[in-house]
Amino acid sequence: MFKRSLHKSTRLLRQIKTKEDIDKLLNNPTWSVKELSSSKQNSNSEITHKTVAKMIKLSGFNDEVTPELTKSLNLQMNFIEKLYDGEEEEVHKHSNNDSIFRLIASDHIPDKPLTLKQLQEEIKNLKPSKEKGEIRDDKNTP
Amino acid sequence: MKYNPKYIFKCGLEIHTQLKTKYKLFSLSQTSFGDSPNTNVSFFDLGLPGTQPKLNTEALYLGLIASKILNCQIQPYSTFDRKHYFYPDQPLGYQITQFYHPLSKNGYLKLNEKFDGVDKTINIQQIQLEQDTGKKYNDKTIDYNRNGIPLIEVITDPDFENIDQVQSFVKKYQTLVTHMSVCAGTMETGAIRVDANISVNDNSRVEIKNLGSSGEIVDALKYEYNRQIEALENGRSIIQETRNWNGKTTESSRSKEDAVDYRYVPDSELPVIRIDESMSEDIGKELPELPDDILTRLTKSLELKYAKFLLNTPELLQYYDEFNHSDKNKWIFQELLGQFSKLDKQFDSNIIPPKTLQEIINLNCPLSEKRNVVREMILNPRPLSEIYKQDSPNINIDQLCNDIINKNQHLVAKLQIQPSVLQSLIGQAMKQTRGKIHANIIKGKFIELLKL
Repeated sequence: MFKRSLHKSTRLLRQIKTKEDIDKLLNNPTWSVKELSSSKQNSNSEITHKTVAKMIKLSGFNDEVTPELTKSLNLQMNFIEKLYDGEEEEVHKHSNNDSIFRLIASDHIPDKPLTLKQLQEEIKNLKPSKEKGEIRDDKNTP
Repeated sequence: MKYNPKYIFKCGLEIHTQLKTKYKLFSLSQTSFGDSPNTNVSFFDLGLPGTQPKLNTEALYLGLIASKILNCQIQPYSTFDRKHYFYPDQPLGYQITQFYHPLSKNGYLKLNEKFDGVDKTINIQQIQLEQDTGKKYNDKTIDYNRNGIPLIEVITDPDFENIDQVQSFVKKYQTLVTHMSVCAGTMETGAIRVDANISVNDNSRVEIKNLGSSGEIVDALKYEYNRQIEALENGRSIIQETRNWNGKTTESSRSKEDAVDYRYVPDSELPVIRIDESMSEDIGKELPELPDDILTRLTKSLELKYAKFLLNTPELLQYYDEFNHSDKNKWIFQELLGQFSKLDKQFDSNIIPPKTLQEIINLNCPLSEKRNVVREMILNPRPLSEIYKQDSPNINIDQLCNDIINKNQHLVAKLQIQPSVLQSLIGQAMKQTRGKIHANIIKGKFIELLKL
């Protein structure tokens, strides 16, 4: 849906020439959250009481499953599914996690690959730090 | 173990092995075994806010050695992931492991008839680095000393066709990682723990978790094979599930429907591990002699059971290799180890080092006396010179004995009629040398000089 909207918007942008065009565009929405979260349409993944119970357990909570919680999650799933409407090619389970962006230098500026010599040198230089609590304080040990 | 020909046994293993490092995987806390609970824990090990993991290169090094000896391809690019579950044995709420990009892949371990009793190649899917968890003793006590100790998880293909193969593999694996100093302990100390996946006739597989000894693996697999056959014979299907071994039976712990969803995500604090392509070859060059090569060498002159015994007792193997003698098997196994065992003592190479054993063998005295020296040294460890007084280089025995003969001609004359006079001559020599030379040596010299 996003892609479609983007194509549409680009086309529309070219058509906007006057202030009236802008007013017209803004006053005629092409979609709404309400419409997209409507539960009337069939959803592929129905959220049951059991699913919510499992999610709560996995999250380490003890809370009870309320009908409101189940209903709310169903609406959200419905909304998300519609966002992806017509973009089936984009929605597939990744067999790896490489698409997940990490803000870590090594992911973007690759380090020089490690050789055995460097590795052995690094091992020699390992030094526990008191600040990190890595050095045992036997005086305070129970 | 009898197998029902109608039901084909199939099994794969996941072996968790603690690495023999000084420090933990992501912090530099000590890894020593058996310390008081919660004494080897840094702030990171407790999952305190503001702490971050940093890969301990010792663990990476041992993981790479394990990869090499299990013939795996070391990956140029590997990463860490978080495996989420809530349980007090890991305070972060997730375990750091390598799910998507493991350290190495596609290896194998060959079992051979001669040394392992079975010919079979077991393929290894991957080796990953991960953290061990804390140990929960009861509802109130948890020990985080073990939390964060580095592990490798070795995952095999489901290549095992019977339990003998499983047993041989585990034994060989254990010898290999211990011999190469990759792993600190044995299955008995919990340093190696096995999960086994078993199925019959390609039905759903069942995972038996946390098997802690070779005996447990065998018993659990036997039980589970028969349980699955019985279920199928009675028209029931096998449910994919995780089971625990309780010593007698396997019990269901959770079914697939209730399986934990670990929600793996890349760890956002640990950089990618990039390994140079020269690594595998360079590690190979530094590896010591592998167990199979040692067995091949030793069995040229030793029975397999003795060769295996040496292999599994590194201190003794080193002794055996350092000790050079034409009759070394007899001297080490019968005389040396025989005496240690007779006296109910643990073998200790420091008590009689190879060089000392060599000196004992060279002593100028009968075998029975040499045996006594070995015995005495084991019972009251002290230098050989204190136990066996022998020729000192400063004393010229020839001259000493000749002088005594010349001064005591009257005694020498009596020798033919009264042989006990010899004792008197020996006594004089002993007195003059203050006992530094053994009586037998002096006696031998007098007999030689007097042509008795």
